[in-house]
Amino acid sequence: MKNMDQVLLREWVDLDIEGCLPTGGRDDLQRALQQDAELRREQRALRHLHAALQESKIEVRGPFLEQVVDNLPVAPWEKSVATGRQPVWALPAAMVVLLAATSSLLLAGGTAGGHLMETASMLGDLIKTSLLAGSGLLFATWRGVGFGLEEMVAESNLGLLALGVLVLCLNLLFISLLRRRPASTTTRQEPPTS
Amino acid sequence: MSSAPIPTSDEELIAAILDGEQPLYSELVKRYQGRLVNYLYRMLRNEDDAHDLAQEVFLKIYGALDRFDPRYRFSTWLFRVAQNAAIDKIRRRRLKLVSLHRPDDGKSDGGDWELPGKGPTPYQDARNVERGLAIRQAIDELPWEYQELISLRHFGELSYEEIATLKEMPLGTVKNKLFRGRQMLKEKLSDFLTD
Repeated sequence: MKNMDQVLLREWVDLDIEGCLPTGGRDDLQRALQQDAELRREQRALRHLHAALQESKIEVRGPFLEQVVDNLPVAPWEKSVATGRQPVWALPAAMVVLLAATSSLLLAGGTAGGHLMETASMLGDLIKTSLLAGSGLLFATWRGVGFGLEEMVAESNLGLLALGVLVLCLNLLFISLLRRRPASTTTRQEPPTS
Repeated sequence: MSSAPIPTSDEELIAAILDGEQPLYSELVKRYQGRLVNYLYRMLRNEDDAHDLAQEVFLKIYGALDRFDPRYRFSTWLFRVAQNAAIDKIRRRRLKLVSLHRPDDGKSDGGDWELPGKGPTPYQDARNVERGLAIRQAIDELPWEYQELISLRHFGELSYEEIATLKEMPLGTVKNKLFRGRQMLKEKLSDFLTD
């Protein structure tokens, strides 16, 4: 039991010199040190060891910092920093401002002419027409693609085969892109080590 | 560069550098250069190599700074990169020594390149030189794992927690191994550890 206590106290001496011993433990250690000459010798020897390790350090050479700074490469991330200085919200904000300015101009004109409701209705019609045109265009595009594919498949078996190969290639490309993504996520979490 | 105060934490400093304050990187180098050079000096046992490799590590870190994850401590990342670079360097050095100086016998135990380097001594007087060599030799004689931990703690000045993260060891194990490592050093250096 006494041996166990001695080992524990020596660990405490070590931790105390390292500044890692809790306050409560330090009080107990001080009491033990007062009573135990062997422990005091241990403490002295460890202090000398710490001092010797400290003294054995070398000085960094004068121009080291300058050499590092002078040799810094242009890092890939610096490009994104340069472009990233334009805030990402700049374009949407500009559009909102433009829209607001246009609306207020229109509204102001409408108020002056006493046709506020008419102007608002006109704006609504404009938006509605844009949406209709957009959806129509989308629908037409898909229809066009559909017709094209239908023709290709109907013409010959070779067309069907070509379509099959195209679909397979697109799937493989999609899968390879999906498989690459987790690897880059890992790199992000744990930066490169060599 | 703006005249804004230099961020206190490494993470804030890195954020500022990534935000366009590249000159602040010198502050980061200043914070770690002494610790890194000393750690690498312990690993490589040669002052020139330690300085050269420390420079390489700082340049490599700069290039990959955008991949730093602030959830981790910068110090553990830096020392992990340094540790890997040092191990690579030691391996290359061994290969070079084997190919240039030991082509024939095939019976060597691979020990001679572990001896201290012959670079300029860092110590000011004869007593310090003697003690310094004794310390170096005593650390070299420790098992590799203890050498690494002692180097990280006393030359890299990493905290116990940082070492535990870096070495992926439980904190208690780090404390215990460092205690045992220092006990071994104390035994080996008993002649020098007197008043």
